[in-house]
Amino acid sequence: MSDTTSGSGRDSVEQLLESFLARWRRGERPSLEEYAARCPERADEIRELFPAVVEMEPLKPPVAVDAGPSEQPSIRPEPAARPDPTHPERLGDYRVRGGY
Amino acid sequence: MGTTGKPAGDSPDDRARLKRAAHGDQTAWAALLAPHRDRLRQMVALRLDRRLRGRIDPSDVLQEAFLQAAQAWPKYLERPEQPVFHWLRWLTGMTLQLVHRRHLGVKARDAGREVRLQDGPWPEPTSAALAAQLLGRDTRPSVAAIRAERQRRLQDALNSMDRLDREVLVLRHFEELTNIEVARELHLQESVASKRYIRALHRLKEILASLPGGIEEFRP
Repeated sequence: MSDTTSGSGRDSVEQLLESFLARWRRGERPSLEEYAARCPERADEIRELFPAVVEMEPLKPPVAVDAGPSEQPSIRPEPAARPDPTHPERLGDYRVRGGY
Repeated sequence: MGTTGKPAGDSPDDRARLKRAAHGDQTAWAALLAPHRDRLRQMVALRLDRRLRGRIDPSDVLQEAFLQAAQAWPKYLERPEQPVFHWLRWLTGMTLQLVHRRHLGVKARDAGREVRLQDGPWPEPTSAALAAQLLGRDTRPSVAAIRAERQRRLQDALNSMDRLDREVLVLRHFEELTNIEVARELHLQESVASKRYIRALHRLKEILASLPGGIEEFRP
């Protein structure tokens, strides 16, 4: 791995990867060769690393599709409920799954 | 209410919403939170202690963090020294730490590993959690034994990585932070964060390739 850096001192491949991944996550499918051409001296590294990173994308923890408005409290919320030991399925602000 | 500052890193839209939220605009407040919700939930999902998984919903932790944010909002606005995302992430980390202590008590310091990297309040994800993510979610009994062995070997290999490199990898890949955001979170120069990420990716690729079946086995 050669050490190609930009004027900011950032690794050139890292900068290209950030751009590539941002587009990928927006649903675009940018051309690998387009990025390899932008940094020819490290084109092989780009061809090796970028697909590997893209392949890790589906391995993230699943995120709920829609958490609903409950995660967006008012700027002036009511005081949070305190834990109630008489209701083991609910502890304060948490739903407890499978009990203690 | 104090005057609103202009923390570096917030977009012009965010700054406009900051001003409107400072005057009690609920829509502006919701719009400020919305773009950060998924990434913050990823953070909680990855760093929630394994003993609480399945019992505590990451969305509930995030809800508590946002309640804290709503209460601390006026104070933040008086002197917003960091962008909204980093402030919310810090509050979410603090909330997660409280959740660990609330439910695990003194045991929260064990497998939860509240290892602090550069003064961050968030628990470091264990190599076990990272290995589990990288191995995917195939729970078929026929592959359980092979998966357990691969997870053990991957975990050992991840443990051999530089801790800061591993954290950079988690932030960039699993939490989807940009380089400048990672640099802010870990108090690194942007150039250092950038080089560490590429180094960590090369190391991870070597690790995956060295396991039985090579990197092909990790293709989703």
